[in-house]
Formats: sequence, structure tokens, C-alpha cells
Amino acid sequence: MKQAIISFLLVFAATGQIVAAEKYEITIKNHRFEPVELIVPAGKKIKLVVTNLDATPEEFESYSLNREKIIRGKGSAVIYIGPLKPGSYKYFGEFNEDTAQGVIVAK
Amino acid sequence: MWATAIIVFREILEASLIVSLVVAATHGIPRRGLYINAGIVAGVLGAAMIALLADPIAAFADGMGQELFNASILMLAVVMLTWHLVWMRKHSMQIASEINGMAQQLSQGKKSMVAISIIVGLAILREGAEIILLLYGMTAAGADVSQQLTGGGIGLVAGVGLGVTIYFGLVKIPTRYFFKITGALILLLAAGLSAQAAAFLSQADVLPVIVTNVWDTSYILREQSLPGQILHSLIGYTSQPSGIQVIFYIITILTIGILMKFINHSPMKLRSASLVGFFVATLAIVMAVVTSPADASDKIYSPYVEYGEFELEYRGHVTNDDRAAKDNNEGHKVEIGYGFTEFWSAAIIGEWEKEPGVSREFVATSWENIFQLTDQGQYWLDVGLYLEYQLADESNAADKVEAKLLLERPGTLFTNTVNIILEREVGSNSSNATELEIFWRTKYRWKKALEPAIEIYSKIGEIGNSGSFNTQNHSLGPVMMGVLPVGNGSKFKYEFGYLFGISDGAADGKWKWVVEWETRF
Repeated sequence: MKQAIISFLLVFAATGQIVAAEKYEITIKNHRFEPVELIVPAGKKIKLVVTNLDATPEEFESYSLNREKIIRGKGSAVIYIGPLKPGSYKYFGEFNEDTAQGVIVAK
Repeated sequence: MWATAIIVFREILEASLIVSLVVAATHGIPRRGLYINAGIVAGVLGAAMIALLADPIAAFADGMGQELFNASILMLAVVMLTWHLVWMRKHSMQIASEINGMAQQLSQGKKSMVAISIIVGLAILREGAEIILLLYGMTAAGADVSQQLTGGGIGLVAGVGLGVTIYFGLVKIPTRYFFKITGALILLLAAGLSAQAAAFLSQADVLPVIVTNVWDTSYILREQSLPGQILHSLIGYTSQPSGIQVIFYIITILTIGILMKFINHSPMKLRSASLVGFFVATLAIVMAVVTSPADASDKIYSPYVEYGEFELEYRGHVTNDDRAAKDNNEGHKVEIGYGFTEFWSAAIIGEWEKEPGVSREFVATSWENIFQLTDQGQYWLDVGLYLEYQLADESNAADKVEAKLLLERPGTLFTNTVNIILEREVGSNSSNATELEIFWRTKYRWKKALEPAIEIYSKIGEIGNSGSFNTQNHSLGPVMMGVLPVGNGSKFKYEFGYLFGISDGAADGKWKWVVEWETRF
């Protein structure tokens, strides 16, 4: 029993090294995203690192990407997106929707 | 203040709608107030605790803790809703037939009410933790505390108010339709929560999205709008859902549907119902998905299904050849499966590959189904059918449908197993070819833990255009396999072998292995 579990864990660890997704960064400052328009390649998985320079928390939210994640004040978070079809995908900061607006363009 | 009110309202609304729906659905069950209140109190306390632990949770699993936490909470709620639905189904039948005594109903009612208590608690915990984090963050950043609290209070009252309104609407439903309507709503609620969990898991890169937006109905009903939000909370409305969300939604409905049928119908009805369900699901998934990987880690299947058996399996292969393109290629598959009925088991498979010059990568997700068509030993030959849908991870690869006829003839000394396989790519990037493969295994039944076998893999290729024997992929070799009991009715199974390439299309040599853990519950 124990051996079976251990062998599975080893196997999962061995097969878990999946090819790394391409990394892109967005920062939040004064309740605004920077860059406002981020261009990423279409058809690929993207690793999005969102860094919040504000002291207040923000929730990265997008209906077209189906993503929502809280990024705490002075913190950062990783969000995986894609593979995307070419087009633009809007997102916003739920806690400061008036100013925190951005778009990801897949080309 | 108003900004805070709106955000709090939005978060509360989701929890409040879930609570109203399950509270309405348990209308008439004695002492339900106790369980619901206990759920609310536990939820609020839990929310405060989660808010305190937000940082360690977020840091867990390489920063993916928030997603994994949310997905687990949501899936736990789905399991509880399923339990409730299955019990309610039985309960309403009992009310109709008045067969069982009141005492038994009450004791069963108690168990179902614990499930309700947990659902209420989870809904409040998840949304509540977000509200606490928001309010805390705002005040920590210097916002006026009383303003924030007033805003939060307004949002809370408005959100709960809307939930209460919906509750009174629901309990007005005439008794005749009451169980049907609330049951259907809870089924859709469970499917919606499961789709939300799928979104979190793809956000954490645990599951592929398959397709980013299967459809876009945001021009008809925006998800941000109030009706959009209500529908999102109640039935999981999503204006631009991803492929994996659609699949989770459908699989949840089918699974609960089959379980509900199973509770009070005969095996024959169950058989036809789940077959219909299966074909509907296959069709929906084929339609929903637009997105193929190369050679895989092969296995020879027996045509049997074990009802109630849960399996966790890993299999892989690595090749060696003096030609670089065929040397050191790897394939790995991880599979989780369950025997849903006496004749149907299903599994989800994740597949990784490594080809020359490329690092190991995730290539496909598959949905596998085995149907046992004859009872073991009923005829001279045991027959089963295997159907698989494979979703390619990369958008420039094609999906695949595989059908296998599984045949086995158990003997006293030798067991022979044959798989006849038809494979076809579907969707975008697909070739128009149907490929044929035939696998054969002869196993010597020496000891349960130690059974030597010979396996033959003949991949003939495209039907009508298969080329000469040498361009095809043929291999054969010895395999050692066996089953070891590991206590508590669990089993450990293994296969280990080496296949020699007997045509130029195959690698010179290939190590292959399977390890499997099975248990019942």
C-alpha cells in the first residue's frame, strides 16, 4: 500500500516537468494596469505574472479569459492563460473597476 | 462607500442565492433551521480564518494555492449537492409511496441536512473570505473605517434581501412541481459550481482550457449585469466559457443524472439511460471542442468493468534505436477512473510526451470509456467496447476518436486477449484517414502475482493506404504482469515488458510499464 503510494508520487514528480509556458508581466500601480495593452502570441499557453505595487488588494478578473484571482497589496500572483485564438481579451480590476482596465491582444 | 457596497453586494449575492436555493429545497424538513444556522455560523467563522490564512494559502503550491483552494471548496460543494439530490430523489419517492416509516426518513433526513449545512457553510466561507480581505485591504490603505463598514452593510443587506426574495418565490411553487423544480435548479447549480472549479484549475495550469471561448453570448446577456450575475450564481451562466468549463458542466449533469436514476430504477433502465447520456455527452464534447499527438504508451485492454472500483494508473514507455528520430522517445499517461455501473467505467487520462529535440510536454487529455457487453464467461468469448475521445493540448494538433473492440478468451492455462482498434482524427487540423491497429496478448496463468505474457502490437496504419509491411509499425516481445493485494480490498497491478521492433516503422526496442492501484468505494 505504502509502496504503491510512494511509487505514484515519484511518477507524478517525474512526469510533472511540463514544458514552461512563456512569461509575461503586468503591474498594477495607482489602480491602473501597466501596460494597458499587452500583446501575446496566439495559440500558446501564457504565464502571466501580475504584480501589485499598490497597498490595497486587487482582483484580476476577465470574463473573456474566465479568470479571477486576488492579488494582495504589495504582492504578486501567477495566472495561466491560453492557448488563445487571435483577438483581444478584456480584463479589469474588480476592486477598482473605474480605473483598472486592460486588454490582452493575442496575435 | 458605494464602491464597497457594490463589491460586497456582488460577493454576497452569490452566497445568498446558493443558500436560498438549498434552504428552499429542504422546505418542510423538520429542524432544518438548526442545520442551516449552524452552516451560516461555521461559514462566517471559516471565512475569518481563511482571510487570516490568505497569505500562506496563496503561497501554497507555487503560488497556485488560491486556485486549488477555491477549486476544492467548489468540488466539495458539488459532492454535497449531489448527495442531497440523490437523497431527495429517494425521499420524495418514499413520500409518494409511504412505504418506509417516519423514523427512518428522519434519520436519513438528518444526514442530508448535514450536507446542506456544509453547502451553506462553504458558500459563505468562500465569498465571506473575499469580503473580509477587501475591507481589510481598504482600511489598511487608509480608507475611512466607518464609511467602509457602512458600504459593506448596505451591500450585505441588499445581497441577502435579494436572496430572501428568491427564497419566497421558490417556496410558492405548488407542491406537485416543487421537488422537480428545486431539484433541477440544484442540479444546474452543481454543474455551474463544477464549471467554476474547472476554470480555477485551468488558471492554475492543472487542466488545459481546450478552447478559450467556446461561444460568446455577452451581447445578449452580459455577465456583469444583475440578471447575468444572478444566472451565473444559480445555473452557472458564463457568457464566454472555456472548453473545459463546458465539459465539466455536462459531465456533472450526466454523473448526477445517472446516480439519481440508479437509485430507483432497474438495471435495464439504468443501462439504456446511461447509454443515452453517454452518447449525448460524446456528441456535446465533439461539438464543443475544436483542437493530436503522436505515438502513445499502448496497453492491451480486457473487456471487463468493475462496478464501484476506483483506479489510479500510470503507464509509460521509452524507445531505443540507432536512428536519432526514433531513439529515446518517451510517453507517459496518468489515468484516473471509476466503474460507474456494472457495465460502464470511465476514466480521464493526461498524456505527456518527449520527442527528439523537444522537452517533455503535456500533449493531450482523453476521456476513456469501457463498456462490458457480455458477462464474464457468458459466451465462448468475452466482449467489450472501448471508446475514447482525445483532446489535443496544442491548437495546431488534431483531436482523435478511438474505438476498440475488446475480446478475451480466458482459459485454464492461457488467456488470449485481442484489441481491434480504429482511430480517426477529428476537428481542425485533422487528416481524413481512419487507422487500423491490432493488438494481441497471450498470457500464461502461472501465479496471480506473476504472469508471463507475449504481446504483439500491429499498427497497420491508414485503411486503404497502409503501405508495405516495413513502413508499418509492428513490434512484439515478452511482458511480465501480475496483481498484488495490498489490504482493505485494494490491489496493486503491474506490467513490465520489452518490445522488439519487427518492421522499420517501429523503434528497434521499447521498454513499457504500467503500475496501477485499485480500490473500491
